[in-house]
Amino acid sequence: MTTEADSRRREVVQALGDVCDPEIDQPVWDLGFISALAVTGTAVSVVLRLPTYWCAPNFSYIMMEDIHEAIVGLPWVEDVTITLADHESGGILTEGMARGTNFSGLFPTQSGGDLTALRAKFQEKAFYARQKAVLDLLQPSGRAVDFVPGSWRVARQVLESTQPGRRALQRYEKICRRFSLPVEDEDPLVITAQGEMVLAAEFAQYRRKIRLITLNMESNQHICQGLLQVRYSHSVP
Amino acid sequence: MYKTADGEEIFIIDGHVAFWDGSPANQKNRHGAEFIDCFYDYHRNLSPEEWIWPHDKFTKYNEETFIHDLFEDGYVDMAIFQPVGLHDFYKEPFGNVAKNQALIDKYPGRLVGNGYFDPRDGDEGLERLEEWAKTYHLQGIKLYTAEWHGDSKGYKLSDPWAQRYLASCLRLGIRNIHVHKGPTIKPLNIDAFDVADVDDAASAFPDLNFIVEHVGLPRLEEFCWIATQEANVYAGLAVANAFIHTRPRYFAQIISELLYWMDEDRILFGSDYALWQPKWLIEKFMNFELPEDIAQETGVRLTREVKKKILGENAARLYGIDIAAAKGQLSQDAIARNARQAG
Repeated sequence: MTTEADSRRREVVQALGDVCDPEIDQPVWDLGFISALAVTGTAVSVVLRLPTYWCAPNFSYIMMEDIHEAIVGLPWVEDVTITLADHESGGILTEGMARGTNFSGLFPTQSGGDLTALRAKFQEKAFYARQKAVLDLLQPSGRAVDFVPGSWRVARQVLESTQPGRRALQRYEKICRRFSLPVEDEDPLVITAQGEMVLAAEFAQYRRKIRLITLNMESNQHICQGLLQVRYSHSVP
Repeated sequence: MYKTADGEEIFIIDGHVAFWDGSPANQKNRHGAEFIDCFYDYHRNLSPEEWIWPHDKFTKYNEETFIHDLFEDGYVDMAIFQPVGLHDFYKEPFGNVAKNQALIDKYPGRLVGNGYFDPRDGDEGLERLEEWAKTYHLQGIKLYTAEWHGDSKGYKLSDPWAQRYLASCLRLGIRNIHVHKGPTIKPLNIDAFDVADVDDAASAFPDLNFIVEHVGLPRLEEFCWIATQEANVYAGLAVANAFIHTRPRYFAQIISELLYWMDEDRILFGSDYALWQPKWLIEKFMNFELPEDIAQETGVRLTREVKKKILGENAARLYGIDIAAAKGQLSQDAIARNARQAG
């Protein structure tokens, strides 16, 4: 029998699907960062756990804010509690979320300001990584230096027939919309995060740059996932 | 010394080792426990299973273990201490310059001892730096820009006090500035692991060498872009090396990007001992070949000549080590004699 709490829980999980670790652009739910999720009536409580005791508080707080925003957007939700567990600033950040304090308010003497600039910087990295994922599928050999990218129409024609292709396109399209960049069939597929065209002559170097951005992100993901796994494996010899 | 199948001897300088004390007896607070535990998670996450130590041994190991793992078993000819004090977490410094010096004296020619400073110590720290430079003949410094210090949880190399300390280094003949820009402790601030401050410092001090430890992971791309512009910026491979076991393809990508954006003369091997053991790292590195598709895409080659540079020649240049002379000297020391007797 499906209870109301069960179906609400599913809604919360679905809402969390878009909340990503800003450094690696993968959903916190898929990464295993949510260790507990409880729905009691109209109250939701979430426990966030991270790969190390030292994960940057500013990144941690971005995730907490995004989790809060995703859940509070559900029509029936009246109360959200987010706890950051096993973390050097866990108490401060958890209390800060409960009070609705912004990050610079929590660490007035130490933080370099609000999180807007940091968010923007990592959103931009995510933009390029998602764009590269699409390009890789269009040119699976990985040697695309001579390839002059076409329009969204071409990409859709080629990629929408496969599941990985559809997913990569959807992820890229979503972040383009977040950046208010055009995604109509006629629009160019490859542009910078500022909306500038990438000329054919610049494309080889451009591709090397986004290759490096993506590698960095994937390396972070390996480190984070590996550390989370051993940290919570309960197998200290 | 690593000997290849065809008999070539390769001189190894491990650019990043420690003789730390993270034991419970030395921990000041929970942070001290969490710090060494985080190291331990890195250790057991990336090491081959047969190389994983028990937790106790990992928090504090003895001199015999250290000498054996590096010089008797681990192919290393010379190693460079990169200490970090972590005075807010530990009673005695986590990496202890005086303790390191005792080993340097006991095993002549085997070890180079770097120091460290914290620009937030102001004038007092400057005096200490001067004293250490004389007592320990410092050639290098390890900096941990994210180290906690009272209310502050990090600093930047571009801060005015940091610039004063770097000017002192130049005056005192301390040429090699190793900056930890890698994972583990992350700062509160927008981030003290941001590599942009290395760019500023490298431009301001063209006669100092800046070795970015852990190649700026997790800021690899920003690091590479800086390194293309600043000829005095180097890549320390500690941590990145260790990917060679669990994620060899990622290791291949990282090393090929470094070779592409920088060059083979500015990359330094470091085991980060005792996080990882040089023996398995060096064996795997010597046997490593770039996958063909990655070599084609980046257009770089990881030849034996390149490996020799990374494993020793590049560090030798930075530290004024004459490899031929060192080979001769070290072949006569107690460690070499023991090794010959053993086998």
